[in-house]
Amino acid sequence: MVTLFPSISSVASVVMNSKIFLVAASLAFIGQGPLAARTWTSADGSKTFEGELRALSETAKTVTVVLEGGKIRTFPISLLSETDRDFLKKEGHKIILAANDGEGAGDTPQAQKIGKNLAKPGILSKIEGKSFAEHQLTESPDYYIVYFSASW
Amino acid sequence: MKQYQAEIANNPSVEMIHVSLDRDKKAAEAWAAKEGFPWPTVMMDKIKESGFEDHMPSAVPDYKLLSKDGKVVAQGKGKVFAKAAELTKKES
Repeated sequence: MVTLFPSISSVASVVMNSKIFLVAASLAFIGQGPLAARTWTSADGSKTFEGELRALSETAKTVTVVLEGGKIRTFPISLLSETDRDFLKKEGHKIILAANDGEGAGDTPQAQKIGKNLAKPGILSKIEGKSFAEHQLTESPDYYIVYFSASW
Repeated sequence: MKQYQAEIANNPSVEMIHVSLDRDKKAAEAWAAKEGFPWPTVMMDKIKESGFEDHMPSAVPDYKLLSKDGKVVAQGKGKVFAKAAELTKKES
């Protein structure tokens, strides 16, 4: 099997915004089990990579996968093979739900009423230098301070 | 910012989320960059998806402390930070 993370990630970084990706150590909670793990194949069939399904956005038509080593990649579903797209369509949400019902689910943002919305791809951003970059919620706190404000 | 750094930044039980009510993303971005906001932000066009639509304040700035289940625990900066500290103290 050929693993070509850089290829997929380079495409994803162009399309999405590469700065969303967080350190692996902060992602230890993602151990959602083998059900979510899979070998993914690119749309043209030339590249494959291993990763665990983390999130699926039908609105944005993106999938978020945790790669070996803990890096997260969010990229358009259209970059994946037809087999993978069918898999996501039929099984994606079921697997994510099953993973969140498993051991440790209480420690994931997805298990919370507040966290599950904030953990969706594209909801949070964080300033990096002079620009906003997509931010992935990795913590699952008991409380959220919500600060409403504007520059004006 | 000082209060956030002192009481929230290293508190795993509480996460601060900024909801920007700027319609102009560039203005929001410039402000956040200038101030060096350390917290994640929900932009105006993502408020509905974020689930915070039901918690919109009548004036800004405003603060709300929400439980992970979405219940409003406190409102107003003073009360929010005090309650967050109290809850954290109980849990530690």
